[in-house]
Amino acid sequence: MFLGAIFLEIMVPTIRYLACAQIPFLLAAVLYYALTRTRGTMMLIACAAGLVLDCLSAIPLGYTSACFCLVAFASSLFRGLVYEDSFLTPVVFGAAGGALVTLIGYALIRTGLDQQGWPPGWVALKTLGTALMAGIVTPIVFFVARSVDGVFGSRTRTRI
Amino acid sequence: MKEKNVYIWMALIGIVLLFNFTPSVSVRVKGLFRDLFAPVQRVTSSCLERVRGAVVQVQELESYRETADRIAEELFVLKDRVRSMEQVEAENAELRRTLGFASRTTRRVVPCEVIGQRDLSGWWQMIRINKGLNAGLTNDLPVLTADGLVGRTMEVSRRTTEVLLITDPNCRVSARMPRVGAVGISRGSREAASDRSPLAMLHGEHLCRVEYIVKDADIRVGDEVVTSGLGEMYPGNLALGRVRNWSLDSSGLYQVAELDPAVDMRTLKTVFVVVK
Repeated sequence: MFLGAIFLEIMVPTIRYLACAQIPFLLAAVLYYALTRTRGTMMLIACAAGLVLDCLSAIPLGYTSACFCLVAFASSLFRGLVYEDSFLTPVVFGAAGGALVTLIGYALIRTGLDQQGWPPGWVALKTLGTALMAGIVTPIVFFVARSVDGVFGSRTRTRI
Repeated sequence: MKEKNVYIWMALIGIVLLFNFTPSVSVRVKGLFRDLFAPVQRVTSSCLERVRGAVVQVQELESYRETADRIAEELFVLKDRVRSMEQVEAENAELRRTLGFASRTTRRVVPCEVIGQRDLSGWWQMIRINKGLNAGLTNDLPVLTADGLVGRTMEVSRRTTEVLLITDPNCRVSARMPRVGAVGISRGSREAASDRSPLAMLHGEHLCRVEYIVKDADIRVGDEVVTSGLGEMYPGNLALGRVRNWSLDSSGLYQVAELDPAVDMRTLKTVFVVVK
């Protein structure tokens, strides 16, 4: 599933009118692992996903990994409080995670690079766009991941 | 519990290490991953190209005849211009021979295929090409096509290179308007072109803007903008685009002109890197 998310992330274009907001398949995969796997596995997946995104973009190494780890860790704190099988859970976690990753990533890029900044309106639109796309895509990724887990017997469908 | 903590600490240490890599190590690691994913990007790029081609064909069925008529007219005009330019070139060559000037075309170009149409993060306007250090490429080399300037090389690995496009606000080019003789600085614009179809919003074209043009320059829609050659990074007289509209900037001291880029960045397949 991780490789599939990477492939989709490479293939699907960003959305120009949402300030080039990306459709965050990898973030959705990280959130799924954050809510359904041990913390150790979650952190390793978050680091690997972030590393792949950093290497395939101009973002300095480690920035997206840090963002993904923070978001995954924050999501894992709510594991005992939410229904992982509910439709709303991935929507809310995806939207919040997408917004957080964009904002934290922007803060890291601005402090770390000596380049022209981005207008606040553009950043706000990008944050909103990523949150919107994450809210749409995360439930789909969760559904696919649950089905794959069901086929391979990785876990049973229970309340966490 | 202890096992879980070990993994968490491993991950945190890994992130700290990533943050503290020296730039050269960082570039090598990134280059390694990029070279690894280059075949995947090539495949996805060609798949996307086919899908886009099919969508465009459906959209443009109605306009094929108009396009054919327009192309025939343009061909006639271009042939006339080529004839005039050949005459000027011949005169120029004669003058240079007479006065002993060295040939201007000393540049070596490396043709490259575009394997990645965008920066995954969406923060920058970039493409990825399939040549790198092995082909003699380095940072800050101009990249162009037959239509004009595309951008400059940014991060070079062994087999791939990131190219920062002129439509990115971080890519600044010294520009000149030959008709009025004014100069300015061109950089990418964040604003979207409003007269685009809904399908184009998914992958719409980015614009450029030329800033710091003198206030009394007589700019008109359609004016050509080219590189000035100042600053030695970009060769002179490379097409940047045509003026779409213009206005005074916020200070009221200069004019700002929005350009339609000469090169369609969405459909790049082959580009040339000028190797100095």
